[in-house]
Amino acid sequence: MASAPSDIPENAFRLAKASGRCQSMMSQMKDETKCMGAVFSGYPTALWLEYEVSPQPMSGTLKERLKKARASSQPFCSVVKRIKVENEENDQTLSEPGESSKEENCSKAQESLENKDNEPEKESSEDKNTSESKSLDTGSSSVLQKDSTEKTIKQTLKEEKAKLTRQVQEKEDLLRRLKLVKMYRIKNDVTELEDLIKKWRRCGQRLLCELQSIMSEDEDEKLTLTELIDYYGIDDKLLHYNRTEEEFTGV
Amino acid sequence: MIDEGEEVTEETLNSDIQKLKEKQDMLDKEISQLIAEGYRVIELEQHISLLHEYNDIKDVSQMLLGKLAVTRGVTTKELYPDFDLNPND
Repeated sequence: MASAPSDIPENAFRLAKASGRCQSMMSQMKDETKCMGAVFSGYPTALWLEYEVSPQPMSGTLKERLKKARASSQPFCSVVKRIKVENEENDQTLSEPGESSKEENCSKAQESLENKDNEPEKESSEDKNTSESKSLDTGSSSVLQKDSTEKTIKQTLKEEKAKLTRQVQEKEDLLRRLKLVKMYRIKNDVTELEDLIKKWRRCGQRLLCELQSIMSEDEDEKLTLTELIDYYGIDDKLLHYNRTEEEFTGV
Repeated sequence: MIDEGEEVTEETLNSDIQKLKEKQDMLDKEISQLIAEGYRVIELEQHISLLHEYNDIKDVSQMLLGKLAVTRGVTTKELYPDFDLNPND
């Protein structure tokens, strides 16, 4: 057994342990853990225990990997990188359900690594996207034309509706006024109303004269009709008062 | 994105226009009948003007009646007969 390098950083051990625990949780990945375990065959036995893997007979593929590992003089950091690569391979294998054979899993991983160039697929997908966008543009343009025509028709109909609404309102107003005229005829006859106005105006004029007489009884204070009208704040026109002549001009 | 959620459709507009036309025809009929009976809008304006004048002159005269009543020491209603007035005038 080779002794472990003395300058191995603690971080490396933590990474190894974390990877090991993740792997041990996946029951269907036992074969892969064996593959990874082989990588550490040249290191202290304690590392084996982290992966809970027991020694077993090795297949041809495992033997080849062991040869490569022993031949190379990679430091422990490089080994950690290899562990990451193995994890990636496992992830790719997980995406293909039904693959249970360890040899097939390893070979699939190698093939996927070799076929990393996916440009043809991307190009084909881009072509599909372009054709789809073109078809959408064509459909939207035709729909927009139709929509424009419909909007023109609707605009015309809306204008006609607004015009009719105004006309209806005007006629409703006219009808209301005519009904008022009819009601006024029933309630207040024009002739009768004019007679009432004359009556109250005559009354007002007589009242002013009476008040003037009363307030002028004292010879020292004689008020004129004009002064009295101004005192009470009365409109001349209302009582038909002629301010110049200082007399009323009829009822 | 095409907006297909417009509130008003052609069917709705046509229906509204039809209803407005029917209402307009009904109003035209009523208006024609009242005009045939001799009613005019200008008569309404005359009526309103007279009512304003009546209200104003009545207010002034009643105010003067109050002043005279105070001077004579009587109530306003007691003065009505002297001026040929009725409570309903």
